[in-house]
Amino acid sequence: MNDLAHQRTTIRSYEDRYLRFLTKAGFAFRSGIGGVIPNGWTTIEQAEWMASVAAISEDDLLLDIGAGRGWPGSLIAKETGARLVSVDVPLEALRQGAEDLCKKLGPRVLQVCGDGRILPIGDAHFSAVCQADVLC
Amino acid sequence: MLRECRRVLKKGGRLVVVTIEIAEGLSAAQRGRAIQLGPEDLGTGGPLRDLVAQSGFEVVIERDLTEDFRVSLLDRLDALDQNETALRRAEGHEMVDTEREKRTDMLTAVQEGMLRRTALVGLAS
Repeated sequence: MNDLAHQRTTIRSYEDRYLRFLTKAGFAFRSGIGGVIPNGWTTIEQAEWMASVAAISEDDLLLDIGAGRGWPGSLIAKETGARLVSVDVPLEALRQGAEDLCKKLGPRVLQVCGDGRILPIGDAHFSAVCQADVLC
Repeated sequence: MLRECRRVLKKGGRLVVVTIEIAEGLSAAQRGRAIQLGPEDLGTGGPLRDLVAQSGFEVVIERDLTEDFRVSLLDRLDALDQNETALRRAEGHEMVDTEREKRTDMLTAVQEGMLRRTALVGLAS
């Protein structure tokens, strides 16, 4: 498989993760475990800890890489008052998270479809970067 | 990806990262088993602490979240049990069976000390 084909397969696999458990039964299952399915493991306590150690405030810009639907960046931004750029590859994840992010952060959030390995962002732009389970 | 994080961060900015990784001090066979049982995209490049340090950060905090991860896996399997009948009807047998198999595998790897979940804070130097 060449690089491009491999990349397409990988992106499709990421998209597929967000197409699981979208039925009523799937939602009940997700709600029972904090709604973190399909591939997130960060608990509320851990996200609050991340906010406490990020050392940012309302004047700062936070980048969440591999953000999926927006967790845990949304909580960190909410707790600290920072503005948030939420980046991930699967458009389906961004679509599913858009409404909730807007509700929580309003104009303080921007979603970007992008790959964390080649960010479409200039140098020295952010005060903090968070990522949860992206390297695994 | 960590080098990209450093590039877009201001000097003195913070990287806050949480990830599942292969435990340290394993034999080659155990590492192979960790990769087999772990998440599909499990990193194999080395301890997170070293990768972060090599990418231009000073590691200032490290926290072991493995026990929380073990509890989360048990919670997820429990939620699967509780919703199994409805899930099988709505999502199909394959989806449920795959979910159970993956989470059970990961739990096994955690319980056998082959996978850990680590939180780390790096200061952009």
